[in-house]
Amino acid sequence: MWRKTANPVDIGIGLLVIALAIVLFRDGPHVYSLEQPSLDVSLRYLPFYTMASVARMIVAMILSLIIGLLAGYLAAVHKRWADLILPASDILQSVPVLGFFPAAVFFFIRIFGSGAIGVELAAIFLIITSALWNLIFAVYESITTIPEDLQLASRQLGLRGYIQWTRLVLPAVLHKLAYNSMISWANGWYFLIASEIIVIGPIHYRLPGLGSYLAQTMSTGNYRHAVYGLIVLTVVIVAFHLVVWSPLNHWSVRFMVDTAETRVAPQTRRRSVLLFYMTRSRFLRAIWDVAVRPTIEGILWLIRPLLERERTRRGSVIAWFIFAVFLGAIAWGVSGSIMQLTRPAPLMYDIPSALILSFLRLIAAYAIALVWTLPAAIWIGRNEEISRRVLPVIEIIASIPATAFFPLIVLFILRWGGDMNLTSILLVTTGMQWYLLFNLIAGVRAIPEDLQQISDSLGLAGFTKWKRLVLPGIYPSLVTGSLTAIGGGWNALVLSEYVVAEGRVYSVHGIGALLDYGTYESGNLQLIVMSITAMVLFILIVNRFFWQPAYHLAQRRFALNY
Amino acid sequence: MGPTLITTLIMMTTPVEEKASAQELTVEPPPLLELRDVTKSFSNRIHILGPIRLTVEEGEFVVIIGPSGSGKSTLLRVITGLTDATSGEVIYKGKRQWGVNHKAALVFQSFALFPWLTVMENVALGLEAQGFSKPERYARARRYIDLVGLDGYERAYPRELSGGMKQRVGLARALTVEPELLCMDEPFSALDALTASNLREQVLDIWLSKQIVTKAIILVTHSVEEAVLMGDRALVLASKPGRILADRPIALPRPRRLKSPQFEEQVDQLYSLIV
Ligand SMILES: Nc1ncnc2c1ncn2[C@@H]1O[C@H](COP(=O)(O)OP(=O)(O)OP(=O)(O)O)[C@@H](O)[C@H]1O
Ligand SMILES: [Mg+2]
Repeated sequence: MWRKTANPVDIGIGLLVIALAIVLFRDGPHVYSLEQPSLDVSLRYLPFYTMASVARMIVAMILSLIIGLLAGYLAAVHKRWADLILPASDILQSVPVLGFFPAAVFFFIRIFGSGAIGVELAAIFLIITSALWNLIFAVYESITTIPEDLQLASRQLGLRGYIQWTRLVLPAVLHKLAYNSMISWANGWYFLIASEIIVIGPIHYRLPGLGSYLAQTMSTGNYRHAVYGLIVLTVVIVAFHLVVWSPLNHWSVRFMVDTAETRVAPQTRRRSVLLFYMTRSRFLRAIWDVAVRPTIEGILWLIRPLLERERTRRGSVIAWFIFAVFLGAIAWGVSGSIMQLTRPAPLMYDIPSALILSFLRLIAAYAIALVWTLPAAIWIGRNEEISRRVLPVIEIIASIPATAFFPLIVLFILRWGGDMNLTSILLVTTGMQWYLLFNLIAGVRAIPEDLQQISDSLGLAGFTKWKRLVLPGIYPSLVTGSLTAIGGGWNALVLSEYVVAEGRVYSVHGIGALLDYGTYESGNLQLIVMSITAMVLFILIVNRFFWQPAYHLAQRRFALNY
Repeated sequence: MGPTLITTLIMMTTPVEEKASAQELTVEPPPLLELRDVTKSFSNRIHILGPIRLTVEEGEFVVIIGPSGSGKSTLLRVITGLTDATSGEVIYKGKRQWGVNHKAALVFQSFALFPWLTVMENVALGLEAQGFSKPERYARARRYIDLVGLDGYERAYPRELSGGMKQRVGLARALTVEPELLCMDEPFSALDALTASNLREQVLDIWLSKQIVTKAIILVTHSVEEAVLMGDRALVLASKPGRILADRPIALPRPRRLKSPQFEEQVDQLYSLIV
């Protein structure tokens, strides 16, 4: 009887819950405190810190998914919403996590108080700001590319509400969403340290967690414990990759909408054992029935007015509410900075030079990233065997947050004679290279086999082959990859131009460092707002006048669907 | 949903009496479908269709022929309510039709199957949307899967099927909601000649032997032979804008044979109208 009903997934979840409960109730009361000046870094509490961080990440991820699905869906089905959501996401995407600190502090902590709830919500909000935006775009793109006939068929069959979501919308977005969730998850970890220590000048909150643990051990030079922390971090990342992301992405391939007569490659038909038990898990089933399904239905009921063409009472109320919250938040920030306008902010005049210097660093970092990712992508993408072996390893390495190692890298390079300028360029590279690599690999793979064979038979080789086949073939993915890489680079600047190690601040002149200074040291809202505004404007101008034309060129001339 | 369910149940059990009682109610029953000066333009002001005037009676198998781009698919979408007509009226059973007509079903040229659902789930999807319980909808779906000759493939995914089998799924999905009006948009043109002719015979067989409750079929094609083989009546569509050039009955006895002289004559007649 026991044998028959025991599902390894259920057993695993059960054991996990018990273990977590033990850690929570044993250690929680001892170390969960926001007031203590420093964390207790003894090894015994590491499980609790890990658990706290993972819990924050999971909650942030779930909320990001919900918001991403809703925002992407609204944008996809209604032009009116698309005009609001897409540009807003584009702008917010380029605001680095520090830029959200004032909002986190002044909104969440003011409303929910500076107790655990307020600060936790603030931290989760900060993680969301580094995980959300690409999800919105993924959902938007997947829904708008559902073949027209499939949409017509679902209308003809009368699919609505929950059934429409589970039969059409969710499956259609699943493939892109799963892939982007993996990226968001890695991004969240990349900025976790910055999200667990929320500081604006004298306002100082530090949540117990793996991020703050690493920050503290590193900045005090307690390397033995820092290494423990890094090991645990790596184990957690690898475990999540193996248990969640890798199976999820494998499985989601079957949800790709392919209109062509393509047959699925045999390996994607292979059923994963884990998946087999997951689909039969009573626990997961119960979670779905009790939590997920009512959530979907509830949210659908809530947003229904937003989808109606005619304006309804409830629709206007919700729309106005969102709008009012938005306006309120902005007004709050602006009024705060106006109040501080009386305070002198001499660093203001440093913004233009800081912007230029950071931009140059970004270009240098981009060049470094490109120099190694382009050959690597061609090597990996061209060879099925190599990519099958190497890619999983690279995916795992890419998902380990380099930020956790920043203090070590800084000290190492400085000790060997490098300067902080070079160091911060290398650090920014860690926030850019993976976007390039994965996009380029996808691009190399997308070059059709017959084109390869024809160029071989025409005797194209060396430079000519590069010019005529490889470069045009990967050009679209090069543009997309570069765009996301540089976006990621701007975000990574705040962590790369200003590093605390062994109790000292190592920094260079740049917009990221300026923002750090304005946030962590002076708490000068005026400086924060101005740096971010300057930075976002700069990014938007570069996007508008460089990347957008490049992107259109890619679509016009080099698209491989003819 | 309530009335749909009840009428469907009545139709399932007593198809003959249902017709009789309908005649008692009104002296002259309204036609199943009527288009009154329907036109269609897209937002970029290109006039695609019409004005089109068309009546489809119960029991008719109507074939629409026309060159590529003449607006055949658009016409079917207007008929099924998937797009609104720009002007004119779509009258269904005497009532002005607004929005999607769930008494009608559409078989797509591109199959339009949900790649992540099995054959069974695809076929039963319309019933799921109508709120049928799982055993109910699977029982009914299985009937139509058997009818189109797909038994044994219930758990396969569309990408594991050949083109002909995919179109059978599309057909079964349309039949499962037991539509009064069945619209088919070039259902055979994506298939090879042999498979197409097989499936044609099968559709005719299902229709002529009254195994389904469907009251009328509208089939779109650009093959004249297909029109003459299957239809009771052929509408010839002209391009730019799409309008009805000719409306001819095809009074050949069934079963029709492809190479017979009368068949060839009909084909030639229709061809002369198109060229
Ligand atoms: N959504 C749309 N917006 C603008 N024009 C459209 C749209 N859909 C169709 N058209 C145009 O309407 C015309 C008729 O299209 P339709 O698909 O109805 O033709 P068809 O007769 O079914 O052609 P085919 O035999 O190739 O399937 C075409 O010129 C097409 O370009
Ligand atoms: Mg068509």
